[in-house]
Order: sequence, then C-alpha cells, then structure tokens
Amino acid sequence: MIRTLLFATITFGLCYFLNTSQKIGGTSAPPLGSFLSPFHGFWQNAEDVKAPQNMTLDSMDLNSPVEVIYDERLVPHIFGDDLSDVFYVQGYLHAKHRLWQMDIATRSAAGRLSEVMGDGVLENDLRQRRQGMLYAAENAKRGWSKFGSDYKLLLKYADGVNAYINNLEPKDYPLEFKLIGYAPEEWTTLHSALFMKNMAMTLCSGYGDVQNTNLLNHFGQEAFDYLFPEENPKQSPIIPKDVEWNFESSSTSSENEPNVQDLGYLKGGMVSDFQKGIGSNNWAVSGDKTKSGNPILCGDPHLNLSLPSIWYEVQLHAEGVNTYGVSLPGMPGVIIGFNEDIAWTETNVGHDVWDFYKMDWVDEAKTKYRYKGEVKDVTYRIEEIKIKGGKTVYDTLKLTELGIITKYQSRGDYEDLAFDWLAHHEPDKSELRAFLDINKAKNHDDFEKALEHYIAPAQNFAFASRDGDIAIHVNGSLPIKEDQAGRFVSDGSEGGNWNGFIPRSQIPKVFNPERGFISSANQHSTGQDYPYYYNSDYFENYRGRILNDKLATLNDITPDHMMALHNDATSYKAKEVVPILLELVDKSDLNGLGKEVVEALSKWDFVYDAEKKACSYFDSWWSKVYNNTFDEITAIGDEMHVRYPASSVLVQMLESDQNGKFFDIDSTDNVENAQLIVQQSFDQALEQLEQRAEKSGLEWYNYRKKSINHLARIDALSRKNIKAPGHGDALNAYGSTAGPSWRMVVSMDERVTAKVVYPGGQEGNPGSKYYDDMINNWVAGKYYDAHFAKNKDELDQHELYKITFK
Amino acid sequence: MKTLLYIALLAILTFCTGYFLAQWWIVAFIGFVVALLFKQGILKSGLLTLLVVGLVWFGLAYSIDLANESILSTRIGNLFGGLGPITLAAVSGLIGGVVAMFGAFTGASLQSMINK
Repeated sequence: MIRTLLFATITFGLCYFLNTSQKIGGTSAPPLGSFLSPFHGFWQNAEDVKAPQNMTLDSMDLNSPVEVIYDERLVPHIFGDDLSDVFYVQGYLHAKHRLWQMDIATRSAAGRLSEVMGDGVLENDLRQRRQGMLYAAENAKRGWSKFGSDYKLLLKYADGVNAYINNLEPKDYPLEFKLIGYAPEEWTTLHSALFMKNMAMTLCSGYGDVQNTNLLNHFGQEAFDYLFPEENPKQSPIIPKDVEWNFESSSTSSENEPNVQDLGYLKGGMVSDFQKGIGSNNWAVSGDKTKSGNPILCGDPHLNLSLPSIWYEVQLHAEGVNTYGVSLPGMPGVIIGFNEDIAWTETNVGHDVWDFYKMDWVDEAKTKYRYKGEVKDVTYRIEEIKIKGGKTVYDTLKLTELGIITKYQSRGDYEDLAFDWLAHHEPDKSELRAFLDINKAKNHDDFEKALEHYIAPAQNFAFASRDGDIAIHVNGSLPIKEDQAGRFVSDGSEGGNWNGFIPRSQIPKVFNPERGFISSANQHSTGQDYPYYYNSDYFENYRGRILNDKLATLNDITPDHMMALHNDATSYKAKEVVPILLELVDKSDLNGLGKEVVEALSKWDFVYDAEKKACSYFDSWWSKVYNNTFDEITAIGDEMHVRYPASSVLVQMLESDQNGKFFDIDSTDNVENAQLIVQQSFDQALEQLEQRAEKSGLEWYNYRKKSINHLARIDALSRKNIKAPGHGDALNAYGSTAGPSWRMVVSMDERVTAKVVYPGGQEGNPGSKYYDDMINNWVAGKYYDAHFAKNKDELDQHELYKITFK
Repeated sequence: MKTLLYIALLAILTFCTGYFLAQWWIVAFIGFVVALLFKQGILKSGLLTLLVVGLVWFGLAYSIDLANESILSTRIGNLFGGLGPITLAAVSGLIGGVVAMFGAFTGASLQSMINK
C-alpha cells in the first residue's frame, strides 16, 4: 500500500514538475514534458525539408476557389477571381508562416505582454499604454470602419487569419508559443491597426521638443543654432533645389519666438529616444539613363533586421490586379513592389508630427485647462493591464484637446505636458485604400490619386512606370505650421501648432525631372525655398548625397549597376573627415598601432568592407572626437533630457571652424581647439583599439558585431556575428542590427522583371529551412529573380507545391 | 509471449494517445494501465515501460529530426546549453520513458497488492 502510494506520488510529482515552467539560469524554461514530447512539443515544429504534397483546403469562406502556388523560395503566388478572396488567403498564409510574429508585434504594441509573460514586462506595457498605442489603434479602427467596402476587405483578411488559427491544435502552435507558454488568440481589425501603429512608432515618433527647449535655454540662441542648424549647406534634398514652387503658404512666419523661458529643466523621456539608423534608400532612373531605354526602380528600405523578417514576399493575382512585392504580416496587400505597369517603393519622410505642449492648468489637481480662451475639462481613459499570475493593473490616461498628458520631471517637481501625435488621430481616410489602389495602378495619374488616401507615417513614394515616367512624392499628412512651431515645447493655451495639412497638390514632389532620376535617403525633403515650414531631427546627411552623386554620373545603367549601388558601403563622412584628422594629428614618432592606424587610414578608400581594419580605426577615432567635442552636452545630460548634434555639424566645424568654442573642453584649464581634440582623441582611440585587438580583433566585422536577432532576442534562434560590409552612413546601411530589409531592382521593360532579396526567409518557423535561407545571399549582395507570373502556367517550372482553397 | 504482447500494447497505446491526445503526461497513465493489466512484476514492468516508451519517443523524435536535417534540433540544442540533435532526442525519450516507468511502477505495485 505504502509502496503504491509512494510510486503514485512520485509519478504525480514528476508529471507536475515537468508540466510547469522552471527557471533555468535565471530564464524561464518551458514545461519540459510537453516541450520535449515528440508528439506535442518543439519536435512538431521541425518541418520536413522535402516539400509537402499538393493539398486542398475545404470549408473556406470564399466566393470562388483560390489557388496558391509556392515557388522554390516559398513565395506564394495567390491566384483568385475576387480580391477579397485573395486577401482572405493572404491572411491565412500570413498566419500559416508568421503567426507568432503577428501576435507578439501587436501584443507588444497594445501593451499586453504582461498577460502572457508576467509582471517582468509591466513597465514595457505601461509605456506603450501611456504613449497611447492602444488608444491610437482603437481610433484607427474606428476611423477605418467608416469606410465600409475597404473595411470589409480588412475583415476578410482577418477571417483568413482566423481560418488558420481555428484549425490549430496545441501541437501545431508556432514554436515561440510553446517556449513562452501561451496560445494564439483571434485576430481582429484592431490587431491590424496595432500593427500599423507599430510602424508609425518606428518611423514617425521622433520628437525633439523637450530636448531642444532644454538646449536652447542652456546654451542660448546663437549656440543652439550653431549646433542644431535646420539646413545643411551640403545637403542634396529629395526634391532637387532647382524645382520651383508655384504656390505660397499663408502660415510661414519667421517672427514666432519659441516660448521656452519658464519651462525649467526636464529630465528623462517618456518614450525612448527615437532610434537612429532606421532609414532607407529608394531611387528610379529614367529610360534616358538606362541601357534598355526603360526606367529602373530600386527599393531599399532599412529597418531593424529581425527573424522572422518584417517582410513577407507575395504575388497577388485577382480580377483587375496582378501585383508582386513585400507585404507586412498583419495587413492585406503589397506595400513595396510592382505590377504589370508600375513599380513603387518607400522611404521614411521623418517630418516632426509629435508635438509637446505646456498646459495652462486652471486647478491644482490639473483637471481643467485653458484652451483658446475657454476652460476645458480633462477626460479620462482607463487602461487595464492583465498580468499572468498577478493582479490586474489599472492606469489612467488624461486626455486633452492637445493629446495625452505625460509626466516630465522638471526641477524639483513635475511638469505635466500634453503631447499630440498624428498617429493618435482618428483617420479620415481608409488608409488601406492607398495600397489597394497603388497595387492596381496603371500609370502615374492612378498612383498619385491613390497616394491621397495615405496618412502616416509619411513616406517618400518613388515611382516608375512602363510608359517611361519616374516620380517621387513626399507623401502623407504633413501639418501646416508656422516657422519653428513644433521644434520646441509650445504654449498649449493658444491651441495646437497644426493648421490643417498641406494640400496634396502642394506636397513636395517631382515628376520626370530633367536630371533623369529621382531618389531619396531620408534627407531634407526640399531646399529652404519650399513655402511650408517643416522640421525634424531625423534628416540624414550622407546617403542622399552619395546616391545623387552616383546617379548623376551613371549612364547606360543596367540592373547590375543598381545592385552594386544597393551594396555600396562608401561613407561620405569618412571621405570628408579622414583627411582632416590625418592632417591634424601629430605623425612624428609614430610606431606600433599608431603608425598602422595612420597608414591604414591614409590608404583607405572609405568603403566599409567587412575585413578592413581601417573602418574600425576611423570609427573609434571619430567617436572619441565627437564625444570630446560635445562634452558640454554630456555634462548636462544627467540632469536634463538632451540630444546631440548631427555628425555633419562636427564635420563642418572641423572643416571651417577649428578654433570654435565647442572644441574647448570645459573641465580643463586649457583652451582646446580642433587640433588638440583630434590628438587627444587619437591617443584615446589607440588605447581602446589595443584593448579591442586583444579581445576580438580589429577587422570591421569583429569590431562592430552584426547580427539579425530573433524578435524575442533568443540567441539560439538568431544569426549572430554576421561577416558583412556596411555602415549606417553608407548606402549599404547595415550598421549592427538595423539595415537593408528588402532589396528590389525592377526593370520597367515591356515585361516587368525584378531582382529581389531580403535578410531572412519566408517562414517564421525556426524549424523550417526557409527561416533564414536568404541571409547568405543578402550578405554577399546576391539576388533572386522574382517569378512575376501573368498566369499560373508560367510558374510550372518554379512550382514547389500547391494549395487549393475552396 | 506475454512480454511481447506487453511491449506491443504499450507501444501502440503510446503512439496512438500521443498522436490523438493533447496531454503529454498520458504516458504515465498508459504505463500504469498496462502494468496493471499484465502481471509482470514491478521491476520488469517498470524497465520494460522505460524501454518501450522511451524508444517510441526517441524514435519519433529521431525520425522527425532526420526529415528535418536537424535544423530545429540544432537550434533548440543550443538553447539547452549546446546539446546535439541525438542527445536531445535521447533526453526527450528519457523523459517520456521515466514518467511512464513510474506510472508502471505504480500500476504493477497496485496489481501485486490486489493479487495478494
């Protein structure tokens, strides 16, 4: 009896132990019993490397059957009669290949990670809620739902996602659900909205209001203007400077004084500072410059590189539409791509659409505020955050006419600021319509009309067509505002900074320019003569210039030239700065590493190749020069929220103001100049490089480790230590974890063809051979032919397998 | 003959329940039931169950791994401190086998109690 009970107790105990998550080395391991069971656990996610048999899936909610032909890279070519059916199947396939990615991206955006991961991630959830991400998504959903026919397509897409989810047994759940220990939930249009808000957060959440206000207060107007100029004289803007504007803006005034005097110093941002290094390139050349006589369009969006990849490649074929390119798992349609007549691709605009306001509170409790001469009540929104294994947390958002109230610490007490973000606003357009119409556009007129439906994040839409046109539009809802408005914290009592949006007929754009190409690389949209004021801390200062210089000189262009340009790792910053640094440093008595650094940099071609040590030498030296120069900002960075000048400002200082006051280091009695800073930085860099040489080697790929991380930052599911060229300042902008997320070269010939590649694979499942199969070719600068078929028969020789949806 | 029947029934039940039911710990119950049905002695029941269930789990894991060319097992092995694919399959087999073995110990013990 006792023995039986003992065995039974051990059996139950063992089952219980193996059925619960255990902490191993501080991290939470999945329940080992189920995870290691070959019937239920991770083994079930190990896909047969051989392609499955063709299959038919019945009971789908379709008007007519849809056929999916996968090609060798697992790119699905979806053929249906009805577009809504095609979107249904696109939703199904997004879920089939990327379900966990879709879940985690939207769950994180919604501030709902604690629900499945516990209170360890509560701070993250609170930040998302306080940034108004869920609020923004709910507003978007409400706005979209007012456009019935478009919204139905979004619902149909969600139905497709759910058709996949509803047929899943726990053993079929994607690996990460098993690792973390939760189940997929029903997909709704709110999830699609959250996905888009995530993109907005990545691309148009930059703000400098508080930082600029602090810096202006601290340094004064003259120094502030010196450190943070709004124009870079070397800049080569997206719309060529010779384009003339035949309209005026009534809102531009230069007499607007920033209202910053009594704000006090503010410390600590509510959101993380906008991530630098996320940018993109795009360009198109006209037939006059190509060997074929037809335009070529190139897409090169740079984003955080991750596994699973952000993009999912697809062809959609339905009545009136045949389009190919990349989609975002979470939304129907093709976002960057081409059809039988046109090609398009986007880069980020980056204009400031996130403004802070100092509120004029009426009462101490801050429940009423003065706004345009009236007293208004704050409204409230309760955020409910469920916590796995804990009590639900409630947080209250205060809403005003000028957005959500956030707390910013100031000297001694708290200053409540309102912040207004374009992405919070309920959209007055369906937004999806933009891409629906682009996907089926036949010419520039169609394309331009489609763009009107697009709101945010504003993008530079590059265009080329088979009938020979090229164009670029700085497109989205761009606020009309007075000079300097939104650059600093504004007075909220007088109303907001935005006076409507620039009419689409007046947004910066250029059609078939004389120079024979259009391009963008996140730089200034226009020259200073554009009639509307816009501001940003985001504009890029090197890639656009390289791109425009190269495109101006290239002729008889072939796709090979364009692919070489994608992979060009030349840095203009290095090209401009290295000669100055070498001139200023004392080269007498150099030996050892110092001698090697000077020699290597003297011979460097300013290309960030993976093997070159010169790249590391420059990177180290430059960062020391930069930090030593702007010590004044670092010194106040502990007490207030600051930002740092663009590196191009320091380049200009080295070129033309070597005795400028910012070269002086405040903490020493000497008066330093550029020469002293460069010398001192050189010595510091040598010290750093010597340490690094011992640790990891000084080749660029060793010095700056590059990786493509799994979305949950699980090393075993990531690709680490990638030996790749590139730098954030170069067209090949692979810095360390962000870079070219999709490379596309489209030839607008009689029959449109394209070369494509992205750093990942079609499958989000780490147990599939398609999880990361394109990375090696992407690193090597190699491409795949896109099998853009006019009909199913054309795919015969590329067919991997087929699924028929009925 | 009885042993062969024991092995065959255990293997079939392990496979079928694993395939059709969502609970991995059902192996403990199967070990228990089969040991209860056959009078084999505690030690023999336990060891047979360890061997049979362990082999079914290991065999399935191994065959999946072969078809997958160890893509996933290599990644998961790294997650578990660098285990190789075969070791990982063996650990999987061991877990299924040991849990089932204790189920069998319980069943056989109960059986001998009833027969007394």
